[in-house]
Amino acid sequence: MLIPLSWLKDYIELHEDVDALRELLTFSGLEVEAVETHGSDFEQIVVAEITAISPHPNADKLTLCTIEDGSGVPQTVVCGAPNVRVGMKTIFAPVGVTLPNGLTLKKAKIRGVESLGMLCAEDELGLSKAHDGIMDLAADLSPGTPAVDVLGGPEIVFDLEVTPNRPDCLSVIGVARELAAITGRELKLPETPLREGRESTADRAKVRIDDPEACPRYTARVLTGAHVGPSPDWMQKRLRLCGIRPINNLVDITNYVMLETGQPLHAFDQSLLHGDTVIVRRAAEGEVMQTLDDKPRKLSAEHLVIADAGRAVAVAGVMGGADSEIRDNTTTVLLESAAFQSSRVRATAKSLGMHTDSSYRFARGCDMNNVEWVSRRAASLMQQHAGATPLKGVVDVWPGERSPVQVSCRWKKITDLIGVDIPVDTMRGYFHRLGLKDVESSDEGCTLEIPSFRDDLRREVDLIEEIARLNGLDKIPARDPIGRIVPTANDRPTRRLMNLWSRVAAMGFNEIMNYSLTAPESLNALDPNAAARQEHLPNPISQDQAVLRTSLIPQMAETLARNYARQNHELSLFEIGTIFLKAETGVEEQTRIAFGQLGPVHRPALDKQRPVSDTEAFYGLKGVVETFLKSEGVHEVTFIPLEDKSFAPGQAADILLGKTHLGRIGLLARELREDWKIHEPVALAEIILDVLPKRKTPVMKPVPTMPATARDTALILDRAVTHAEILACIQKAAPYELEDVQLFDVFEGKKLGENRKSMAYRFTYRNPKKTLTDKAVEKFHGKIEARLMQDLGAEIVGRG
Amino acid sequence: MEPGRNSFFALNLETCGYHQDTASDPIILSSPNPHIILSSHHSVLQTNIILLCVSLISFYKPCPMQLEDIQHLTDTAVADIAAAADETALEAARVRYLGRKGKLPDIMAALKTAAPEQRPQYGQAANQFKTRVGEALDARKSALAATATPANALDVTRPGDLPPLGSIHPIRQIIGRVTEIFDRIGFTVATGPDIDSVFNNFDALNTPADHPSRDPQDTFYLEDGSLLRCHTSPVQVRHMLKHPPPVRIIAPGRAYRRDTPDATHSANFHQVEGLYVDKKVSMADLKSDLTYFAGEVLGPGAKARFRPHFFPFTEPSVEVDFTCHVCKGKGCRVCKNSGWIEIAGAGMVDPNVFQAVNYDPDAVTGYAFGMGLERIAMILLEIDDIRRLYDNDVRFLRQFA
Ligand SMILES: [Zn+2]
Repeated sequence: MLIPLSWLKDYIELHEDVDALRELLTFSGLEVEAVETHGSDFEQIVVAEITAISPHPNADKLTLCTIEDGSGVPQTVVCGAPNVRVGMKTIFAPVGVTLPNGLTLKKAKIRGVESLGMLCAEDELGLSKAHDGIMDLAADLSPGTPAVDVLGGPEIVFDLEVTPNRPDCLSVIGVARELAAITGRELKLPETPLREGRESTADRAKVRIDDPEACPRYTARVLTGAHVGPSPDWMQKRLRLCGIRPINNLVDITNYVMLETGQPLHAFDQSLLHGDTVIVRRAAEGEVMQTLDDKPRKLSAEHLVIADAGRAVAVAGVMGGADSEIRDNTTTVLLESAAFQSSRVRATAKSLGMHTDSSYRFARGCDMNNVEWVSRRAASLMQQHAGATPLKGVVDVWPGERSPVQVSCRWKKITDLIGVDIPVDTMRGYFHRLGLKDVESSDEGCTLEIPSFRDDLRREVDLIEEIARLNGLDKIPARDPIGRIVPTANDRPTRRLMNLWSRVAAMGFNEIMNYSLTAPESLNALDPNAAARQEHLPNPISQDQAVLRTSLIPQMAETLARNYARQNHELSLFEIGTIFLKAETGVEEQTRIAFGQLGPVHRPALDKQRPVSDTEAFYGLKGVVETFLKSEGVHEVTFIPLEDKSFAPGQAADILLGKTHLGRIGLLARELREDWKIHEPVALAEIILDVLPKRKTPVMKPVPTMPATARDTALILDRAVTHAEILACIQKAAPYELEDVQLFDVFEGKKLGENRKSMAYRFTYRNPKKTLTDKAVEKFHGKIEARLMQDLGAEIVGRG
Repeated sequence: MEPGRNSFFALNLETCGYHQDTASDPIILSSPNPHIILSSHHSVLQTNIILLCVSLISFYKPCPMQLEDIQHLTDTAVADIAAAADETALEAARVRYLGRKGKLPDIMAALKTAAPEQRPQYGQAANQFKTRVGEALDARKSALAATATPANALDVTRPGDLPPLGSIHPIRQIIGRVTEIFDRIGFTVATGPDIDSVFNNFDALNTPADHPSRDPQDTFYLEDGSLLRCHTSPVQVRHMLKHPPPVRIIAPGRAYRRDTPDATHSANFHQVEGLYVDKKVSMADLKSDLTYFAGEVLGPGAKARFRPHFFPFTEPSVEVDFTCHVCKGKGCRVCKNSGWIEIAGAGMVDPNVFQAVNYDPDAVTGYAFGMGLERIAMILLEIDDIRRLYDNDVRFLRQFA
């Protein structure tokens, strides 16, 4: 929202400097997003007359202009503008001047000819972006006149962010009124003198509102004898400062008054309307009209239109029609000033994709009570600047007239909520400054009548905000905080989760974060089992983010690959995040942790060169997963072989706790990693954190005091026999004294025979109450070995 | 010639049992090459000079050693030994003072020739010579041993076999920091699902039916009509629906908006939401708690300031600026010369929100605030593009270990 400072000053006295105003506006709720300066003081820049023109000897497109700048000494300037002519009055900036656009003029030869300055276009003077030629000023100006006298001084324009609750501030008067409330100064509204013609408007125009809900008020004025031409310079300048292109006096006045008052207006050429009745109705389904921007618009019954006897002539509150617009030969104007329901205009603008200055204001809400005054203001300007005569009176159809809103508030409630003591009289004063009228007022509170332009004030709390704002938010004290404990609140589960991060990071892993949304192809390739459980977004931004992730593994693999491609060859990554599984009823969310590893990450510094084997990659990450689970109090997990397209065959496992599925681990399928040009194993794992059992507080067990006895045994057995099977077999023969069994060597080689392997275990025996004798240990161990031979066909090849 | 050197040279001669007199100066200065002395800083050379001095002795007729000569000799011997550069030089010094042809026999000889009444003093001086020289030799020996490089010495500058450097994601670090700070003043962590209902995300939060944020252009809806929450505020609603007041929660989490990704926008992002509902909660409580938070997160002295704003779910609503952490409020590039950076949106819970969660708006009041965590991470850690936070390049992540 652009508000020129000089325009604001038409309605309120402001002696503060720009910075002070900026603070004032921002801290009352109209945040100044930017302050723009247009033009300058134009020091040393003057009006000059071109007295002679000759071609530049070395350049076709340049001319040599002899100018008179009031000094009496003719000067030569090189100029490239196409519009130079002898006798032209323009703006001359001599050498040494710094132009508002930042350019400093130096004495220079342009294509071999010395130029003593520059004839300026609007953009060079910071007046606008126009650069189609040098400025062409009124012929009666005398050379040497300071440019500032002609162009005006610098213009400050505030760019304000107006929050949706304050449509009343979408205008210069609105902002001035707000400043008046903040400062306690007077708001001066413009005079609206009218010399009305004898003929009555009512005789020339009628209004019929078919949908009073969508159009609670419609006023029409008719002006005759208008002369279409350019609007006055000051008006054009203000429009430009607000980003609106001047068109002609009638159209400019409707725009000017809209900027001034916030009330959009529309001017029809009445001679182009059929019949004398303006009808406010819903469009017919499929009705087509050509709008001002020359585009055909296909309308529906949801759209409100302004129509004449035959056709729609405007989309109500959004844009007028092309075939009833003001033209160069227009003389009779029908001036519309109306109130349209904000939600209807918002929906219409959206469905037609037409967002105009008018629809923007109506969509936020306009002051219904102000509609007639605004019409009068515009008519007054049309009389002054277009020679038009307004007919007598106004046609004002106002089916939606309401009585003023009243709101009550309690003084104590106000100060309690703000947390600042404010005297009651001060608060009353603030309300009065805002234009709120006392209906009744006591020591306890008051009831106020709310002006129509403050439709946002409906409740006590809305009034509290006004007091807080006007009293100043800086008056609210910041004390030492007072802790408040809510003993019943329980956030242990969340905090448990939050502890995971530092624990896994301490294991040397880098935490990553991926988007919750991803590409279906990527999920399908790397989480093949979840195809049926993917939730596709009906309105994705792109195909890359079209589906909610069903697993953390696909993006983990992609992250490893992306890093690998950037020569990051040692990677230990983890992510803790939410995944989404489509279920019978809605979408189930799960919190999971994923691990990904690539390269010789956990190797000693001097052992990084040799390639990473599948074994190292898999068991390396499996160890991480096991340690992680132990740190979460989960010890008894089992790993069972898993066939999953995303993992290499025979190199993946499901992770189970009893019958609960905890997750999976495996080496990425070779084809998938080769696609990414990764020629070494990629280990991936994922654990569902939600299913981890509640953590129990550990209770101390006695630390053994008796010595332990160890026995090592190497077995040769079938390659297919698993470690888990061996442990299960040992378990069957295990005495109470067997404390621990550790695998310490695995060997496969030709000399063992086809499909044979050797596995060596260390057995630790201990009796917590007494020292075990060798004989006893021997007996225990013999029994276990016998069992292994018997059950698994193991061959005992070494012991110690 | 450097005076210090000159006197050092003289001192060494003294050690050898000669008194310096003016007449001897020219001899000393001309005999050894003074240039060597001058240019030398090496103690081996000093030793050589001493040896030279010793060899010069033969050109002079010794006079019998006096008591103070012995004391002098003791001092110089100790200094000489302490300067021995290596084991060889030290052994030479030992021989020189304690050896059979060294100084000790001379002292013993002086003891024998001393007058009887002076003999105890001579005896004492001789003993002191032996003790102090012995101690000096031992001390130097262990000092030299300590500086030696043993055969099994380790190159301590080689890289260690450390596990790789782990790290916590910058956003997670900010979440941790924020929850920890609020934990201290009694906030508990609350969470909610990413997928939520229109009621929790909009209706209960007093969002008008035709508010632009409800548009499918801005919010991700699912087929069943639920949505990906566009802020963490629905956690407030969920929490209040389940728990009677008082409520004091902090709710970090992920939220979603249909923004086209660029340097500052991402389809999903993180927010942290704070809510305090009780009897008589005021804007002053809000300012106090956020000022405390500002000080904790940006350093002592950081303040919070309020600017009026508008949010559907709070009334009054404010935007909250914190003192710029870079310039401490003086104005700099980071804060665009204002001295402040915008951090949070906040306000007093709108009575309509209380009604939606079945709280009595006349019995309780409350404040709520929300902050974008990507923004805070980007400001505090000077991250130039939000997409880096989701790109997960380890060279980026490890910087925040
Ligand atoms: Zn700063």
